[in-house]
Amino acid sequence: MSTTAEHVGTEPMYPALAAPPAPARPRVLLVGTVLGSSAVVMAFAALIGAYVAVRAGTDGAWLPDGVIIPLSPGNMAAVTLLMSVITLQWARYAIANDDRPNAYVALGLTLVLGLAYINSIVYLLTQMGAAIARSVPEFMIYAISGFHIATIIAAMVFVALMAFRTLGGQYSGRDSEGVAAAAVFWNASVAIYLVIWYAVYVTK
Amino acid sequence: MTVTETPSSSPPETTRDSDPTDAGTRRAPSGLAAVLGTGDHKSIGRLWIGASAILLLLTVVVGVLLSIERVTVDELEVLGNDHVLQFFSLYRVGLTFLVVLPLFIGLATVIVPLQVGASTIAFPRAAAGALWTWLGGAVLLLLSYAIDGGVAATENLEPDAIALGLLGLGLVIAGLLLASVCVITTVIALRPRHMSLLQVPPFAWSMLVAGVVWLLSLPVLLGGLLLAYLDLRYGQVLFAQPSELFGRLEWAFSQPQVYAMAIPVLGVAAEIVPVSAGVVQRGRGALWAGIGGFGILAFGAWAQPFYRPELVEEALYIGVAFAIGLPVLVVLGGMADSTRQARPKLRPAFLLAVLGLFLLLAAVGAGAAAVVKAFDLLGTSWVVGQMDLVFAATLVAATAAVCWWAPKIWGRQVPSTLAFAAGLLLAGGGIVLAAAEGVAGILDQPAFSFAGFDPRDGVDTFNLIAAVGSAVLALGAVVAVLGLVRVMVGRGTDDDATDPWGGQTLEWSAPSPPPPGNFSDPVPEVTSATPLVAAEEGA
Repeated sequence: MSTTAEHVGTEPMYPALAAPPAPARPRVLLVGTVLGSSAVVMAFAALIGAYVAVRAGTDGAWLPDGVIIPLSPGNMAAVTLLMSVITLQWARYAIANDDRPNAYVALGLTLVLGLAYINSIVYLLTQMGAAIARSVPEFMIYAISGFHIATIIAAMVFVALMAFRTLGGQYSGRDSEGVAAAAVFWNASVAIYLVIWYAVYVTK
Repeated sequence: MTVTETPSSSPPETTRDSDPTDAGTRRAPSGLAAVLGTGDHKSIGRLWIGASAILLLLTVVVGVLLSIERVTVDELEVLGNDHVLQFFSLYRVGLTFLVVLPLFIGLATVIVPLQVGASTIAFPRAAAGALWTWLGGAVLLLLSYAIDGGVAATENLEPDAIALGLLGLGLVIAGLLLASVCVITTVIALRPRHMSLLQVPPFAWSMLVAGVVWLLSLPVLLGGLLLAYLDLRYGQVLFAQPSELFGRLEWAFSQPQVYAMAIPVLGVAAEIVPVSAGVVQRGRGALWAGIGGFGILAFGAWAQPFYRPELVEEALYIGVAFAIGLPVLVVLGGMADSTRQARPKLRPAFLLAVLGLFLLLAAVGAGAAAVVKAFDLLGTSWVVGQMDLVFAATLVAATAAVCWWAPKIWGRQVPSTLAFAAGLLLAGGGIVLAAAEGVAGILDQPAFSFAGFDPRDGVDTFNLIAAVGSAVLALGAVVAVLGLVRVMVGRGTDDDATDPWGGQTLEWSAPSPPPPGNFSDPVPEVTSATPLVAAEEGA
């Protein structure tokens, strides 16, 4: 029996269309990553909230004498991370279009920009003239910056893992869930940095 | 095919993180290796339940010691000045993070995948990792208490031991958060395609709500622990007074956050009551809104009076304390409606689920009374009694849940006598303890001072009654654990274990205990919230 069309007289008769497929559920890794990213965001909300609350309750100058937060390294770190958001989107687009060479370049660039961010923040901390255990502001700046560096390192590991899986052929235009999940975590980490940049490095 | 590629023969999506029980040609591990290396959600859930039951025994002993210490308010006779705050913090931290939350996580790890018709939990290896992280953290936390540490510091305790305690609690919370991610992802991403969130079983829905609330509130506590840990290691510039440490964490055990651990109580009742009455729950949307609303109001990371003492007098704080009673009443109304349609069978699980719900209502009422300025109860042992009432509600509801789902967890039923006795002792002890602490609070007994204050006459008597209540609660815990041991080490499977209650949701279509992959027959198509009832009507 033909599966395409049968003719009765002159009028073509088509078999009934199959029911449309049920809508796909959100992907497991993506959902898990969104949930994990939410938890990380809340942990930073606690740290930044405590920082702002303690600073608001301080009379007089917040930073001790001799401690300055230079703007340039923090700004550079922000620009670096914003660029990394673009490179990661580039990677997602490239994988979605099965353009592997571009995907590898974009994922590699994202990792390099992550390293550049860590370099900027370490430079900022060394230029501050701060000591970790001398005063509350210095301690909290070190704590928040250090925790964020750890978060970016975790995000880099995630991106690197997904890059290797892409190299291994697991992700392609048919399925790029892993890279999308890594992008979610990376973008959340960048958004957190932008809040830290404004709340800690700019408004002091 | 590369080593990272998904084999074409493996089922798509739901088992991509590979269920180790489907190991194909690999030989299945046995003995200790099978326990330590398991990725089977049933085994992981059983381990959560077993470990939290052991820790329950330890915690209630601490509670009894604290109650005995309180009997005479003139001096500290049992624990001493340095250790009384330690024990107080251990009781709170232990009940919350070592008993109640892991107990519900364990139940959810076994039951939720079955309820949504999944062959495994999402991220099975992460679920196993969560268990071992939590257990390792719990051991470190208890070790730190044993060597003069813990998370409630005084000047005479060991800073290194306190740092160990903070690290242990951090790991405990990290494990619980990871387990929550697995449970939530299972509900969101692994349920059948046509099952909407409104058709998810009530317990799964309550665990989804609870998991989200825990996921958004516990990281805030984790952030605080991180600051405290770093501060302790690097100069103590932030927490200059070590005794302030527990005060900064206290919000996690006070209202509204204390209600976050009780969210599954609503789901357990909503699951058991309609099935016991043999009816399909009406007004499901309202019930779902009630559980969700309770979760939203129980989010308490914003309410940290340590940073803003004036918070407790603000309209939002007071409003939440009163408003949170409304969702409980909505759920209670739904349960009353079910029992009005048909007379329920008076099984232990049914009675304990209802009892848990009423205890939660009483706790919410006590919480609302605490914020009324005219009563002047904040800071008194009234709030301690209110917390204990919440703990009792969760323990009773968890006992009901264990009785209800024991056939799916172990393939056997919990003996009715033991279940009744455990539940009634837990509830009775909790009520006596909380009531006596509440009255002592009315008589001006402070919440956290055990001696050296000037209470009104009669406090000693109520403290003695509280000690009796605490002992009864501890006895209930012992009986509950005995019942658990009985069902865990029993042999064979009950004949009617597959569906002894006439269940309405997917887990009751699986064999008891479920085999690897959970369902031996194809999962019935989900076209309603009660697929087994629909399938029966269709047949």
